[in-house]
Amino acid sequence: MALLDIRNLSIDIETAQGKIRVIDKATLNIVDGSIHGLIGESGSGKTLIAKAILGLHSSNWTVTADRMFLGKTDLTKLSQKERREILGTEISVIFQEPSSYLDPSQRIRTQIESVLPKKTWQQRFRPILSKIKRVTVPSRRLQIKELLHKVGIQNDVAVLKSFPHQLSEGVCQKVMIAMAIANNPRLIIADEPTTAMESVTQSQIYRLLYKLNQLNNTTLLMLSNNFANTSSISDYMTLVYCGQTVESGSYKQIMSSAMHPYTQAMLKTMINNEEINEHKAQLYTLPGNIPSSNQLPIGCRLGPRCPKAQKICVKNPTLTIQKGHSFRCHYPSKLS
Amino acid sequence: MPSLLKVNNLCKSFKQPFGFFGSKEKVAFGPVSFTLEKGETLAVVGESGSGKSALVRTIAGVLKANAGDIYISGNSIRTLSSQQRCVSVRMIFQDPSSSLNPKMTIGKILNAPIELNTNLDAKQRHQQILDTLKLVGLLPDYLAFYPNMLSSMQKHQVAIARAMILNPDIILVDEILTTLDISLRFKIVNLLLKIQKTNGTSYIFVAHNMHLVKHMSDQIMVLHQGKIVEKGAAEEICDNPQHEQTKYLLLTHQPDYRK
Amino acid sequence: MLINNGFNEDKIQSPLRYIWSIFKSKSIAVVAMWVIVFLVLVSLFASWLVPHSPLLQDPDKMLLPPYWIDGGSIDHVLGTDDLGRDTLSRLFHGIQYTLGGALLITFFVSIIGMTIGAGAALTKGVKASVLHHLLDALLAIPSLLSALILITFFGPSYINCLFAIALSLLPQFIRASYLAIAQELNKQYIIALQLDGATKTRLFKYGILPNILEPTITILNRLFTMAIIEIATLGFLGFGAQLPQTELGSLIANNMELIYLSPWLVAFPGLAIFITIIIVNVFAEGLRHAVIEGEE
Repeated sequence: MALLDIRNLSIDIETAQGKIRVIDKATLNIVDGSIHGLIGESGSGKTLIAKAILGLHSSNWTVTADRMFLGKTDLTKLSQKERREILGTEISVIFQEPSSYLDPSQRIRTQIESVLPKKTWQQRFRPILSKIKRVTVPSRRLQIKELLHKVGIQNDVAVLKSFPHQLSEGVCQKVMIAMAIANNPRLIIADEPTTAMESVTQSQIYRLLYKLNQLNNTTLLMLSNNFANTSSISDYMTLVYCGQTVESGSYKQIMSSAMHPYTQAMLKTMINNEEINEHKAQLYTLPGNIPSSNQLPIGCRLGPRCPKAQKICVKNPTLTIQKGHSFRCHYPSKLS
Repeated sequence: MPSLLKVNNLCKSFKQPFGFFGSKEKVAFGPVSFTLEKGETLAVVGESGSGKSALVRTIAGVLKANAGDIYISGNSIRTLSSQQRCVSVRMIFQDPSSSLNPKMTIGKILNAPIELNTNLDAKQRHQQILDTLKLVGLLPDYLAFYPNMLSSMQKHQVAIARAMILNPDIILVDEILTTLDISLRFKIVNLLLKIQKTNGTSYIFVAHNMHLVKHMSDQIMVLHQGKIVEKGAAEEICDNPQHEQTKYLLLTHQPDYRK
Repeated sequence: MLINNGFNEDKIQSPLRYIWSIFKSKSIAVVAMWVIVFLVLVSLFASWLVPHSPLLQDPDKMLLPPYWIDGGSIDHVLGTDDLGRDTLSRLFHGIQYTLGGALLITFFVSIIGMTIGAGAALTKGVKASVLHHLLDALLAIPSLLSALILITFFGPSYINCLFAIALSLLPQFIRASYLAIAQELNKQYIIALQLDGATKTRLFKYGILPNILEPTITILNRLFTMAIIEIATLGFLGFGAQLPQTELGSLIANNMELIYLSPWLVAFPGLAIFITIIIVNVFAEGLRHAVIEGEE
């Protein structure tokens, strides 16, 4: 069952150079209980898609979508306030620079407490209740402690007492994850959670996210620019290039039968990583550079850089779907 | 024949305020000694806080060393003028979008180092700029552009061009690859390798990605808490690490989460 | 910096031109700019613009109201005071003293302050720290108070009042420009330029000055506003412009006893001060936003 179903999401942004279509008919289908990797280079519009899902866009954006469903709720029909309520309870977000998203003047305990669900009346009268009825009502303190243990922070007492700047980037990210899962959301959007982190911390965070998905069955949307790392934990993957979703499918489909030239180029960068090629040899890259947002090519945006491009590529290819494996390309072919 | 770069017991520590009036020394790195030959690449790896960035900055001259000597082609750096030092050692900063002056055109940015450090006239300078642009693969049209009009790859190319413009012997590269996308990263690695091949430049670079480090470098130096814990040929260190820290760095890269 | 002209061709503009083109799109700020130009012209050519001499007394036409009120005359558009002097002429001359004085103060203080601030930021050691702590100590005294103290030294006159205000505003300006430059010095391109072996002057001219536009506009705006208010305040208190001189603050003070008889005599100079300050702030704020947008 699809938890998040987005069809033909387009975003236009008003700029000094006129209206720019930054996201062009993006389609995203996230299966409940899976890890979905949304992979694209920086500037490809991953964050924009995430912001559109959250409803955090600014006034000069025009967001249009044929379909945008979270479970059974139609996100396009909700008011700003209802959207805001969904955020934090149904969807939560993990950002890329955790230390800048935590309040520097507040202790970690206060910050975690502020995102916890409201106190139930039993919790409020816990001291009295426990005397009268001998029921065990979980205290706030215990709740926070459990939360921190879930994300792998063992020395919870010390962490809770400290300020964000006293903690390392990795621990800050774990705190952010703890805050994100506090309300048991259905969907967690992780916006490049490990960029600018050391590879040691990176793998810790990845492992933690994977574990959360496995144990709590939380659906994860992972935004990332690192194909190699993200592919190793995702069940499904969608690749974005310059605001167009070029290919999406399950891990197996992408890894063994990628159809789009861009996906294939990404796969090659990964193979390069693993194989031992000649010392100091040139590495494989697509020719050309990513176009800037005001000089986007028409039609398939990979066109000018694509090794297989033909005349017809100036038209935007239609979406082909084969057993849940979808791609937009005029000349799809398997990598030999 | 002396080595191109010889670093001898280099130390650096920062003063940190401690208590009311006193100050405490915090060691960034040291003592560190190593040599670098022409056309070679030395990779400096280590966890954050291991002092690798400070080491590169000290060699570049941004920071002053507390003790130890740096020799370039046998001459101590103390005897060299700042111009001579500038011509032989150049640095590429971490983030090109903040290391290029937003209010100057690319032409002016590239012109400044030649104007300050050589005696070339305007025409020769222009030729030098064009040659360097060609080396990094940029069109001369970009000379009139301002940095914020360029894409991130082009900014990196300009940053590399600024380092290459004086044809230095050594280029110090401070973690430029960490925050980049994989395809950009590969492009820059390719560019750096190409420059090394054509000009015989030596690199000292700070990096995280052990695969790229292995691919690019001849020597690897592993720093841990400011001390060299392992140093040797790239192949040897990657295939047969001796120190715990090296093993740790190699191990944590690309683990399989699926199991 | 790329501006698309109808042919889908991108033209390269220098950052200043680009900022200007953004500024032009902010209509309120542009209006404010033209009003400022008008005010500056008024203060420059007040003697030629006015219909009457500001000191010409007319015993037949005393305390005339503005012409749109019954009893007013078109000859004296804004009416006359208790000696039959034309209010409009006096107002124009008042703007000359107040606005002109504030412009002079801003000009000299900004040049001197920027030089000292840059000196303090670019040097290290005893010179910098003496400058630093001395100015910090001066900052503890409110600027109006220090201006009053200086006036009692110099003796009350318009020129002395300008001197006193300039001197009292100088420490604040040095402090602000020092902070802006010191912040800029940490940027990577400055370090890169230093590594290239750039001299201090070159560093300042090419590296720092073009990049501190935004804070400079803010502190210049504050300086100018403070200067207007302090000139008017000292004039009102009688320490500034002396009697035949028609400074806006002193105009208000002179006409205070007539406030029930003809309130516009007090209202017009007050409005003039108020509008000038608002207009300058609107202009500066528009410019600042244009700079911020241009730098993105």
